[in-house]
Amino acid sequence: MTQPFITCGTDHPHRRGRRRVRALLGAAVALAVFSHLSAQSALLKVERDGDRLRLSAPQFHVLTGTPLQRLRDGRSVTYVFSASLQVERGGARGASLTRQVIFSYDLWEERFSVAQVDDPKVARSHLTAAAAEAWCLELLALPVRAAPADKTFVVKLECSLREEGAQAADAPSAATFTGLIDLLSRKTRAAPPRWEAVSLPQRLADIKDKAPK
Amino acid sequence: MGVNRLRHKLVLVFLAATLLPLAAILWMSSALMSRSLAFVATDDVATLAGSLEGVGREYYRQTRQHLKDEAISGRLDPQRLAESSRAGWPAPLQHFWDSSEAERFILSEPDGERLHYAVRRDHQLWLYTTSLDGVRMGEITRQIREARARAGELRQRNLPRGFTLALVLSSALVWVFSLSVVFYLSIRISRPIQQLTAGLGDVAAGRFGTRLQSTGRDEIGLAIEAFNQTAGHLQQSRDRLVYLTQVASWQLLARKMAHELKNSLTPIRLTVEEIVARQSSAGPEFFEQAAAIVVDEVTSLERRVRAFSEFAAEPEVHPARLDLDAIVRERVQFLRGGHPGVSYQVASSQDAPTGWADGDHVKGIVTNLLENAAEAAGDGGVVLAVAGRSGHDAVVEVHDSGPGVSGDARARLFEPSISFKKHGMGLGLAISRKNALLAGGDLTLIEGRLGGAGFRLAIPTSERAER
Repeated sequence: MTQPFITCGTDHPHRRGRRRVRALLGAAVALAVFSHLSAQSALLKVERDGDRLRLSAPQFHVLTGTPLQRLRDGRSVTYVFSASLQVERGGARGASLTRQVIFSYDLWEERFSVAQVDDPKVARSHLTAAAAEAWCLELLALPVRAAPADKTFVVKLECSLREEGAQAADAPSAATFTGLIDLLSRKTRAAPPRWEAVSLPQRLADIKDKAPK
Repeated sequence: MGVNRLRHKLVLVFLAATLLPLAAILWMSSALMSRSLAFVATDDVATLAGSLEGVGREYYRQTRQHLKDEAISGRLDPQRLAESSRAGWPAPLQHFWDSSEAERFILSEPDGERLHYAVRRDHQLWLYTTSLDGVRMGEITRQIREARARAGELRQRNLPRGFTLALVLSSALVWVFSLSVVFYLSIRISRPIQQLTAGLGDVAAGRFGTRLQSTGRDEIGLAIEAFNQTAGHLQQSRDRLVYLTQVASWQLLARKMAHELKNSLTPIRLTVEEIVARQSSAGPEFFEQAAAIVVDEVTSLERRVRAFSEFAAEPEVHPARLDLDAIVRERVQFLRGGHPGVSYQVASSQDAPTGWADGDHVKGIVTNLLENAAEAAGDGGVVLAVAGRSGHDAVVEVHDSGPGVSGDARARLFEPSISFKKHGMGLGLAISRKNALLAGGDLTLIEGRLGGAGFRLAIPTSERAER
């Protein structure tokens, strides 16, 4: 005989307890997913500046967590920024632009320096964290001609860390005893962080041009 | 099979001799490593780097404030750099000039022993500089970076686990390699022993032609060589013996045949010579007598040839339960008429058992023994026949009151070449003993009870045979 899903009157205490646990677990999972998503994604603002579409995202922060700690430890970190234009949300990627930026940190001035990997002359120093992040977004200005004139589109911003070299040049070979110890003692690394920001769907005609006429 | 056990024993001994010590060594090494790694001061290094950074930052702030105060108060003269010479400025100054900042502090490169205070003044860059009194901020930066990098590397590793796993893995590799070597050596050692065992089995089975492949000059190789030599000698000895036995048999047979044929041919020759000598004067009686002699001798020759044929024959054996007492009495009764001058006595023990043999053969043997005894005893002599038990055998003994058997004759009594009877051919006892042996028993000469010879026929009892 099947039990009804919702019962009136008396309910078995064990069953009631199980349902409560299930509900709590579900809520916890939902909360974790929501907080993760809200931490990892932010709203992207798109502005027209002449023939370029400039991006900004005040809530988009990549100088956090492990990479920030790494910078404060005196090491440099390379971020890979990518902006892509999609005619429909979830649709095929249209025009896209990718920039790799190397960050470093001045321990005494407590400021960041940034430089484009493939063009080191494109660089800034003595920047706050927010200024450094904003400077990176400035590198990702998409051409206006990439946006459709009569359709809504979204711009998606993605950021990830560039994988560090698999092994340092002086790392011991796994064929040696030292190398074997090194190989077997490595802890499993957490998945590298990724950041995303997506603009609201908009038409090109609705975006005001900031450039002086 | 046995050699496989030897191989398994060798491998098991290796396992027992290595696994426990190996496990103990691994455990001790792991414990020692864990203890040693406890002294790795990763956290201390990180803490020290943090403290150094804090101290350095405070010193830098104070120096920076002091430099700025000195610059504002005018106690320090700046170096004035015109914007027109900007191309020759160091990169940090260019970066500052390109920025929108009004002022900036810059450490000198590469060691950071001096601090610059750059201020924008219209189209000029004023640069105030102070020494850090030997404190190299660049060097401190590098040291902090290296210390933290080292600490970070160590934090990303579980060294005790890495050391233990590496030790276990390398030990396992060495151990497996050693096990393989031991297994290979056990095969190398056991294979010649296996061959040797098989070879010895062949030799035990009489296959002396077996030869083994020598493996080298070690103890096993020497044993194999010794085996090959021994097998060769055994083969030679056996072949020689077989040949000599065959030759002896042929010689014996030839002597016997020559002797027997000569016995009959001499009277024939003499009779024929007599016929030739008397052919003119002899009457018909002589010719009849001479013909009778020749016919007798030829008949004798035929009888001898038959006897040899019987000796050479391999008769079929049909064993059955036999009442030896009845057979003895029946044979004595049968022979009484042939030797009226001999006194026959038959004695039976209470527990005379039933025998198990071919009835015809046993009757033949008993007849032969009684005939021989009667011949030896002669007129007035006595023959005693006894049926009884001896151990697990049923026996028939025949004794006579004759002269007995001499020492020389005892040795060759059962050989097919001697006869002490008037019409004997020397094959009776040989045939009798052969048949006794075929029945699973034997025919032997024993001490005579009546002063003469004594013979004992022994055959299996029916209980023993049927068991």
